[in-house]
Amino acid sequence: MLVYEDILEWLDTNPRIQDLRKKAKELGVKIKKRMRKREIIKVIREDIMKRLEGSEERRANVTSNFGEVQSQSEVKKAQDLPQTYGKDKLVLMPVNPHWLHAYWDLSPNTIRAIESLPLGSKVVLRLHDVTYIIFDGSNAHRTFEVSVDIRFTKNYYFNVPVAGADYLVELGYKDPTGKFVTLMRSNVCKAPKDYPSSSTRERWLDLRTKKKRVFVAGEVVVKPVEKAVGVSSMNVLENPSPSGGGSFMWEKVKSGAGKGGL
Amino acid sequence: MPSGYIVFVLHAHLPYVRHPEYEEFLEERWLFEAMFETYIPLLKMFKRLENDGVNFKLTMSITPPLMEMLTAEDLMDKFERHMKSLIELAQKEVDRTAQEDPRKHKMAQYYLKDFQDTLKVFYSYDRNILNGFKEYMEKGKLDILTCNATHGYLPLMEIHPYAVKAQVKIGVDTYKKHMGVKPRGIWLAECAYYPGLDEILAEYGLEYFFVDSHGLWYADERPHYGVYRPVITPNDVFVFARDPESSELVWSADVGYPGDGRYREFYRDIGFDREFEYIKPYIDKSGVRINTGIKYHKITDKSIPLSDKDYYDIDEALQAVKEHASDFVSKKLSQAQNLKSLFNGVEPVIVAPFDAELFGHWWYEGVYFLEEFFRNVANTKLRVATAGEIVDRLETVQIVTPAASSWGANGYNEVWLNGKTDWIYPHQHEFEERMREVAQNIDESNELMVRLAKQLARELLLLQSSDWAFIITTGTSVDYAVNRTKEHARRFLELYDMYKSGNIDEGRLSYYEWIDGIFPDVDYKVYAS
Repeated sequence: MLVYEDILEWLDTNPRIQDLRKKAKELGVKIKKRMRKREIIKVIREDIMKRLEGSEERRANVTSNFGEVQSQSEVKKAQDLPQTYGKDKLVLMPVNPHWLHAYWDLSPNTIRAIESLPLGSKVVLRLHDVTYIIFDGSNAHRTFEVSVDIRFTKNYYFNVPVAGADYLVELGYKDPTGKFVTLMRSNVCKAPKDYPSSSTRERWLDLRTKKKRVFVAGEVVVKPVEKAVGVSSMNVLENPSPSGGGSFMWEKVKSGAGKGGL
Repeated sequence: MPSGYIVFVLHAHLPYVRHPEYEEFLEERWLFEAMFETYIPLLKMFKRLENDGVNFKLTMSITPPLMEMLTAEDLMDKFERHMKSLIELAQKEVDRTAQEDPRKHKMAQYYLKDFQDTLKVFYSYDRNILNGFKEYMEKGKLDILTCNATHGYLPLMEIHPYAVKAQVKIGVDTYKKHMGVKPRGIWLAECAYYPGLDEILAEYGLEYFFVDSHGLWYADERPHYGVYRPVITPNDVFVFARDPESSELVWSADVGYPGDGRYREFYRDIGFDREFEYIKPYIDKSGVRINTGIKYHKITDKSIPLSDKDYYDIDEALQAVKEHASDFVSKKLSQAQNLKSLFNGVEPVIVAPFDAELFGHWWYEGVYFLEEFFRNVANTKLRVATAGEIVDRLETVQIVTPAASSWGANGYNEVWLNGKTDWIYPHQHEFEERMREVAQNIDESNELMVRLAKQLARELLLLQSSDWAFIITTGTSVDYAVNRTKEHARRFLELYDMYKSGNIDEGRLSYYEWIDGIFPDVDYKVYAS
């Protein structure tokens, strides 16, 4: 650490260009032949700053290992959380209007049941569109199926066809004859809406009289200018979700949406 | 007649970072920096405006973890030490910069005085700056909102309404404890709403909350006046929606005001620029270089590297503030006038919410911008108002259920639920269920058991903070956020084992009560509902 600081200080003392080239070589910093002194200093400085940041991250980890336990091994041990709670559970949550996330946990009984399925059976997830209905196992508007290997996966991201619709997931298996058997059913999850209501009804409340009025309005006075979702050049492989949303897969976070945070 | 109203909303929040078992802790600096760069400068601004007889109205959430930290003796001792050390450094800088560029010397003198004033303000409120905010609340200048307990991300708790209720109720309780009155409005963590949440808000007496623009645009029925008039939900809670135009002007680092070349450069700090031996006492104990708050460079030009930035001059920056505040006021005024004529004379309500820490911390001159805004707007037909005042003035209001939405990137839940963070929720949901089990079955006459239940609630609440997932997603202090999540989970599991076995290790329990001591009177029974 100190060595880098010393070099930084030395850079401020207006060293000779030959010495700078030598130092760059020592540090393994690439410099071009035609570079002027000022440029070499800049390149070295930036490289050192990068190294310092790297070691900063490592050290920050050390200070961040808070808690009552001080020794490294104990900290490590503390961080292992259970892989399962041994209960049957299937939960469906909204990510955005086009993606839902399901996770599951299995009880030992269910695991045994799955392990003893007859040869040729297949564990699958079924996603049902259950908008405006009480699901009875067979009345979904649409049903989608994907097979999963529950030995390796404990969750799944569904790209759903309709925003604003209600969905439900079942985890089950198909027996060798192709018959689907449910093992678990999730909660109902509404995919968020990303479009304005088509209703022209307006309800109003008079706060003094507490009276309500309902009428059919022609047009709203302010038509929103919504945010466009898109990219300036489309590479299908890089951007797997041309339908919009799904940016969680790109791991991109725009700052413009309002969150800063320290 | 006014052309319209503007409601400025500042959301002041930091996650609960308090490590009493350490003399110094790197991440506790988040609070100190927010205090001397944002919260205390705001109090100073209130004073200046008040002294000059300028009307100002601000709506501000101060979240429960922030209230708890600002009233924690040990943290405030550390803050005092931090400021004293900073003043010492500024004094050295004044001496040292006498030999350097005069612009640096000018700023060193400015910082020294500024830090000294900051500490004086801190003392003037008896080392509890909440007293300052309370003072202006009582004077009718501030509408202080609460927030849900630990800033938990409520849409991902929807499957457990009792967990959502606990977040809301503990948010209300904590506000009462510190402010002495009931909160009227709430800022929902991350501005995140789902249909049905308003019913829980109503249950705890909350009168209004805020959503992002698309929360109203995609509501069950179309909002007649768009985002420019509050609406009411069928559960009788008022809703304000964010004006997208105001956000863009102020927030965006690319096209917004804060990107102006005359403003201070956040990323050049003497914590990195000065030689190690000199700066060592003022950076992290481990030797890690960090920001000190003393910065001598301006943005200059966004495209040039940090090493080529020119020196900063506060007077030049304040000139930029004047221009930007005047531009903002004239844009808002003409926006209001246009809307009012579109609305046949009904006054629009423009809602401009921001993270409070943007002003002062990220955008150093942001607090001065707010001040200039209030000075300028006073001479126009645009009126400033608090959210509470708007609600009190409403006569008719449209009934609407907003759509699920948040102010995170792309407007929904993906900042908090994605491939990097999805491992958190199976644990969180499991603990919510266990917490309910404990609350429903506990023997309340057993004092030790009650203490255990309260600590379980604290560990769960701290784990639920949306901050951890946010930090993991944005990649800023990932290790800290991952550690916090796992530590709270581990402590929860350990305490739950004690509950199950009936074998309570009181020493252990006391230790956790000390290091995770948020909400001393936490109402764990709300989980039984």
